[in-house]
Amino acid sequence: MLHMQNLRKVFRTALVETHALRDLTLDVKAGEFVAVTGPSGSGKTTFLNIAGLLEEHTDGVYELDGIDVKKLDDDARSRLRNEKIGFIFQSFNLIADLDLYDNVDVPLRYRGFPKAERKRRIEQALSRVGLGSRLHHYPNELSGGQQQRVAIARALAGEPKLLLADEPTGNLDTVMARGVLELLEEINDQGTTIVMVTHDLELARRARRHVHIVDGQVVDLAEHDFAPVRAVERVRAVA
Amino acid sequence: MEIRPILSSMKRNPVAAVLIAAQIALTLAILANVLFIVTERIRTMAIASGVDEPNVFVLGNQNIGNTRDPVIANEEDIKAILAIPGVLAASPGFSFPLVRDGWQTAVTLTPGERIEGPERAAALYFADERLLDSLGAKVIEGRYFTPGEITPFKQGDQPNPPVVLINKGLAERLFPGESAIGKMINITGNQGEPSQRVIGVTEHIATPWPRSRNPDRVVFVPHASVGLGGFIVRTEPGERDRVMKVVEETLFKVNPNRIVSNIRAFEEIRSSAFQSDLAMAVLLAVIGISLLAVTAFGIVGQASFWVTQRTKQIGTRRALGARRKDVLRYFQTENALIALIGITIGSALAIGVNGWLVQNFGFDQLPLSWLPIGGALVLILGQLAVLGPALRASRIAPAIATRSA
Ligand SMILES: Nc1ncnc2c1ncn2[C@@H]1O[C@H](COP(=O)(O)OP(=O)(O)OP(=O)(O)O)[C@@H](O)[C@H]1O
Ligand SMILES: [Mg+2]
Repeated sequence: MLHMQNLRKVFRTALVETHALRDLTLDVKAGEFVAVTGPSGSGKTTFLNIAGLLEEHTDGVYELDGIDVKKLDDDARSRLRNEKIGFIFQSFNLIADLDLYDNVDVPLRYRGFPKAERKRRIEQALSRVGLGSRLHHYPNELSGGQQQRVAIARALAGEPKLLLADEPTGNLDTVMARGVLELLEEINDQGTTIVMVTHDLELARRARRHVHIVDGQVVDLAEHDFAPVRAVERVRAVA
Repeated sequence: MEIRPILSSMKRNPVAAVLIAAQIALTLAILANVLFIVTERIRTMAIASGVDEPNVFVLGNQNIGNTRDPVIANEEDIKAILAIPGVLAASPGFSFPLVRDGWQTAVTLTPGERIEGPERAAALYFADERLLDSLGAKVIEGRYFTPGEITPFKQGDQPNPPVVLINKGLAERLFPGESAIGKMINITGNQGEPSQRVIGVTEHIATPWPRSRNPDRVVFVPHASVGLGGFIVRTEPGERDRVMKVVEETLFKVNPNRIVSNIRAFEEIRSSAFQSDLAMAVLLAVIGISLLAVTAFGIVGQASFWVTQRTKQIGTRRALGARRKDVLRYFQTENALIALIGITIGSALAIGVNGWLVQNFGFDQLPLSWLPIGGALVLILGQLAVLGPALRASRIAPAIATRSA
């Protein structure tokens, strides 16, 4: 799904050169749930932005679903983002002046789906995150957890192969954070690959795979299998 | 297109959009009227005089000392002017197209007919046997006056000749679809039996008053206006300036007891006739352009503000798959929608403003076709104004979505 080889990212400003990523090498297979942790400034967001085609890498190889993205122009990158990737942001990034329906509609319009198809997908996506009855509410009428669910619905509506989340629970309290994480796990169970940056080691430990980035490099590539623990926890959460 | 979501997000935050739409409406209302008035003025200024303008000049002449018989003095003066090399024709005359001075009368066809009202008004030109030639105009039907039909006309006389010529404009109004030749008309304003026979129709020749409602209705009466003011002279092409230089000297040689004044090429008559129109047109054009500039800057300012305000939203849209041109188009569509709202209101307002001008200042009715023209202009202006900010928006990096708080 995601193949990164000796990836480098250098930010150049007039005075300084920041090496945000140095020879980062990472492969994520389809269906994985990867948690990415690391100290502040270690390059997690940079990694995620490059993975999500929001930024271009300076050096190295990045193939997304088999496509070498270095060769793509801006329009093609936009297209690829729209079709293959769903984003979930720390601060939700909903459009305050649009209701939930129109918010989820944003990427679908860029995809060019016909109206009926969009409607079906919007209603389905919002129902899936438990907000099917609030299509015409506005973001500021929802709690933070609910807003993040809308953002997840927006990311899911286009049925992306890859979900990228940068601190999706960073602005949420523990209860809401757990709810969002469970939703992500459910989505992952249904086949969507997820890469999630988080500061919360607790959350990271629940992911199937945990990647640690320090100083722009993957230092500790540990494969965990927390499936049984997760199952237990989920039972507890439901009860 | 994203029309519906743009409209609904506009509805959530209507104030700025409403202000811009109002500004556009006001601009259109004023602009449509200003444009209309300016073009009316320009059209007035472009009116054809019927005069061979490049080769005609006029001069004022006043004999003093009462030593000469005016008829004889006129004959001698005309003879002397005609003798100047390059002169083709010369006539006495103080009233001619565009000069804004002269006689006007009512023309009627039946006894007792009302004589009031602009539809009956016509200018009177006093014609000697050469006047039409001196203006450089032609008879298109019938004939011109014979020398025997011409009588002198002096201060205090009332014109009441047996025969007249009329111009094409008057002929078409009085006798639509038929020949005017031989018809009887009354130019005396006495509401009696028509006693002037039309013997000829001239090509278009304007009245002295280009801004009147009917600037193309003229009656020529066979009276030489002797001693009433001046001369009209037509020269061979290219000779006019030279003749203008020697005409005063020539007349002084005939008789020095006179005041010659205002030797003017016909173009000067035209430009002084339209001086105020020109000034008005320029003033209104400046106002119109300033208004457009203010509106354009208003749009640029508001759009720039919106771009800054929505930086994160734009980054998010890019992250969700918007291409640069989608972002560009978003702002262009938004601007077009606001402009269309403004244009709709502005059109109604424009008609209102015009109605007020018509009622209070006798302006002409604004043709409705001006509204789409003005609307299109305002729409294009809006699109041009929003282009800069919209391009800036389209260059916002998608990474803003994750990088900004
Ligand atoms: N646009 C930029 N220009 C210059 N330097 C940048 C830019 N974006 C990021 N950096 C630098 O790159 C490095 C990595 O930043 P990044 O945002 O990826 O860290 P992070 O791991 O996400 O940190 P945090 O946990 O605080 O979000 C930092 O040193 C940061 O200052
Ligand atoms: Mg970060």
